[in-house]
Amino acid sequence: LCCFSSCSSWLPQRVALQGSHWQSSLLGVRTSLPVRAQPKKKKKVDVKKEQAQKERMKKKLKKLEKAAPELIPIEDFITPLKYTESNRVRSLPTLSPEESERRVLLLKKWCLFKQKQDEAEKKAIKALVESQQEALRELQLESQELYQAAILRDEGLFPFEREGPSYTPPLPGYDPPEGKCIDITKVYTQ
Amino acid sequence: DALLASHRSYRSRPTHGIGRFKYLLPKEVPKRRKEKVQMKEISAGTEYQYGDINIQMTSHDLCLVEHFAQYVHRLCNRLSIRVNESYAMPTKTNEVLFLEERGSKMQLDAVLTTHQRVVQIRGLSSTFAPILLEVIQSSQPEGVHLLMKQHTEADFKSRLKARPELEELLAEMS
Repeated sequence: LCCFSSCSSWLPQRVALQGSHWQSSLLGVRTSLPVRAQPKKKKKVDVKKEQAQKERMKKKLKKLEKAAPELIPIEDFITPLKYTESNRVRSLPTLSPEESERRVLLLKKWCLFKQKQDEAEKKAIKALVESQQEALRELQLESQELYQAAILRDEGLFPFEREGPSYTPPLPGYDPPEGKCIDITKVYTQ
Repeated sequence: DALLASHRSYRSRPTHGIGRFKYLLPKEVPKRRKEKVQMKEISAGTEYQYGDINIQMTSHDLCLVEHFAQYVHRLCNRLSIRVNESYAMPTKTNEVLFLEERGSKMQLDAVLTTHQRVVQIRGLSSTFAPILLEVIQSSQPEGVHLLMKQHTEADFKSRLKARPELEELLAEMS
């Protein structure tokens, strides 16, 4: 009985050994295949060429990456050459004293108007901020939870988009002519 | 040995510093190296403050949009809101063609340029944001399109030149 059990315990080990031995022998067979001359040469040359190509590409990449990215030049800030080449100078007509007086007074009126406008804006901002602060204080006194929720930032606020007001309302029943827009912006590449 | 080392001028000798002349030349200002265009860190902001916000103003009228951008910048300065940057985006040119009434040919109508200015602010408090929005909206001029959004890396990359060679190589490598 004991010998049987020992045999059974020994058998699978033997089988495993045999299996591994078989596998190792197969592996041995595989490694022995490319020992032959011709196919090895082809593979070596290909591998070397590929490696050389890869290295060249890596070097190119490194060179390109070293160059810092440039900002696109803005055409608004570059004066066209035709305005700098010509030498013609505009001669302004001489103003009469009444005209210059009128202009100075107009300038003063404009300055005053702008000052009033600016002060009104500052006052409006101040009033808004004050009323907001008062409302928040009252809310804090009412309930702390609502106050905390009110102070948190609004995720739905941004992105915020608005078109500027127009001089005239849209014409009723206006039929625009058909057409298309072509984008001809100059594309800059580095 | 003393003869061989005679090129050294002794500090006690009257001929000390006999070859000096650089102190007589005018002072050279050190050459400023070109600062590399690097993206600044984008702050996400806290619960009570917004991070980096871009106020983008677009219009066909150049002077109007420039003056409005200046006004917004000065307003932010006055309200002590930190302004990171105030820059211009590249101009876009569009050719507008319209179809003639009788005929199938497209007629060139006009060449329109679209200008965009951006004012980037940081640390706008959540309670003050709607007030600022109100003020900017009330003074928005005609024809100027206002857009306020959070600053992203894509926004920064759109300002840089395209690099097709680098992209090609990267595509080939991967």
